[in-house]
Amino acid sequence: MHSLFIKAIFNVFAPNTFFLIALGVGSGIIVGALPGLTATMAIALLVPFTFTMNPVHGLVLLGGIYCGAIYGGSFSAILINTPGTPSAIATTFDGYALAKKGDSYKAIVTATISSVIGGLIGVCFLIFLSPPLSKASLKFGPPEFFWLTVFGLTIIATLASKSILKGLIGGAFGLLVSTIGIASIGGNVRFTFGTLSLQDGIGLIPALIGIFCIPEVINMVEQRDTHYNVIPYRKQKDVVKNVTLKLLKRPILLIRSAVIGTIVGIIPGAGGNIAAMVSYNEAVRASKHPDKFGRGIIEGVAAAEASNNAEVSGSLIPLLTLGIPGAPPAAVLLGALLLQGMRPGAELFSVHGHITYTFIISLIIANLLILPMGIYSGKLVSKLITNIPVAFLAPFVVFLSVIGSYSINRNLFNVYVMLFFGLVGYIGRKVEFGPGPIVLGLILGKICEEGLVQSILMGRAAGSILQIFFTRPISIILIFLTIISAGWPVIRKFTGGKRRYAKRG
Amino acid sequence: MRNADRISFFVIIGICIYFWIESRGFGKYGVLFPQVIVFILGLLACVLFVVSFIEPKDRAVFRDKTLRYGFILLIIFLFIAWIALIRFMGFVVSSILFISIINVLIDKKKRTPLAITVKVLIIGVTVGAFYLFFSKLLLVSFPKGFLF
Repeated sequence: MHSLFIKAIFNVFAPNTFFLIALGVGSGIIVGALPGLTATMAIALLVPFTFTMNPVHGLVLLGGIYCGAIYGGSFSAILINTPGTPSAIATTFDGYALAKKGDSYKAIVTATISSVIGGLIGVCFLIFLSPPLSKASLKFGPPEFFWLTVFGLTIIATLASKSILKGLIGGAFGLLVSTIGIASIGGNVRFTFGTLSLQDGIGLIPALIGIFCIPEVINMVEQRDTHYNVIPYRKQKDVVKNVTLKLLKRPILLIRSAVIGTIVGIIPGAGGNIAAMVSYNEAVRASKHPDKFGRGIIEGVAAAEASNNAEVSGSLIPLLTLGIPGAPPAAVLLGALLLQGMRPGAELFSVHGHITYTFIISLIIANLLILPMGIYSGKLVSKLITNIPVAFLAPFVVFLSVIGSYSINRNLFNVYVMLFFGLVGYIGRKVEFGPGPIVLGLILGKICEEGLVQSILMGRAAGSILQIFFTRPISIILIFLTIISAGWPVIRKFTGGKRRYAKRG
Repeated sequence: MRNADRISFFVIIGICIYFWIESRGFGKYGVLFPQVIVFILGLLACVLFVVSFIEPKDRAVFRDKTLRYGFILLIIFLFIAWIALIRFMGFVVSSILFISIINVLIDKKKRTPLAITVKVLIIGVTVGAFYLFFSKLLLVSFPKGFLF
């Protein structure tokens, strides 16, 4: 292994390989920053081109794009409140609030540094913990997935800043919308209104673009300022130094977020969006000032970004060791591996060890390259976006939304879905139903339903449904976490109330 | 609009009734999850309705007098028209046309013929660059329509 590592380090610093990593990161950042263009899409588009390349070159290019795109999603999340990739949803909560205060560069620097730290911690896990952690992911059956989604849904309490009740309604609405299309168990065609295009269900990406993007555009039109309603870029001194020092004082926040990101990445089907939301929720719960989250606090951006970049490496752990992709972009990478004649498993770490370890080391370089690229381009992009007049920016955001939702599978129906969710998001915002819980319901709905129905089937076969749901060790841990997570806002309210009472007394 | 929470209740209950009726024809595995969610959603809507009487805050929306709702509706209508006409006019032509119209409507200050011409040129070049990037480099074929 040591000799493979040393060989891999030399391979990575070969001029061609290094250039391809940098190219991958740079183009990944651009793709990620454009709303609707996901890392999955970018990797999928490039896989055919890597077929004729040397396997090392092809894989490091795709790895660079994966890292760059997940990070790049934070740019539009911070600057125009539109997550460039689903992984950046949680970045909007505080990133955009910071941008509204004129601190867009501060938010981008925070996202950059946290992404790099999160990404590097994730790669460490990938190198050292691949075998044991991938074995644990195999123990996840339908009941565990069901409880995992229930645990995920408790985040609604954090996402619904104004009213928990409305957050729950939004979450339930998202879950209901996720049932549209052909049922994965039973095969019923459900709630399609006779439309063939709805048989595949509501596309997550068009819905995400619509619900986050369109209300923001209409809001811009409502404000009708000369510029976008972000306060113009404020020149500040020593932003990088100050943010770095502030983040280094919170190592637990970064490490916890990266660990959450890695663990969520390992679990098949749970992507960076879930990782970032769980991590954000934990950051709120652990904070001494939870009320400041959502109003523009760098800890919120750091939690989300450290987590979603760590998830990149996490999703590769089961992929490289077991051939199970932890996230959609990893699934496309599996295709690239198979195209090169490399089968995941022990062979990948022995016969193709020099390629695999070069790929893993290239992820370290990719994460490090994010630092200069993000910090320098961040300043430029901040100035550029905040100085574009609203008369140009508003229609161009819609234009990008149209491109993003159309490009997924070149279907205009996705553009209609995007617009529909945009209008739902706008009206929802007016009546205080935030987009976060709806999106969470939409993301978790399918996994939750499959987990529930498959568990019931397992329970019937085993003779006891309750036993299947409540006696498996991982399920018990998840139930325990769910109770704590759901009860936490109540406990917090109670203890907070007590403290206020004591102060008054 | 007075008390948006009560209106939200009626809308949600309407959605619940529709989904419940539609789901009755599904098989036993396909019906379970949607009906559980419809039940929970309906229950939460009822709680919202009750809360709107217990805590009757002034939850009026769309009543901000500083906003010109007619103008906002016009822009929303233009977005819808743009997306509806992509199929017929083509992606490039419809995008240039509607971005230009929306730009001119929003930007009240610069409406001289020269300023409008410059803006349309900028919009045309930007849309063209995006079109070429996506269609030639990423091989995304956009709807062409009857013009282009």
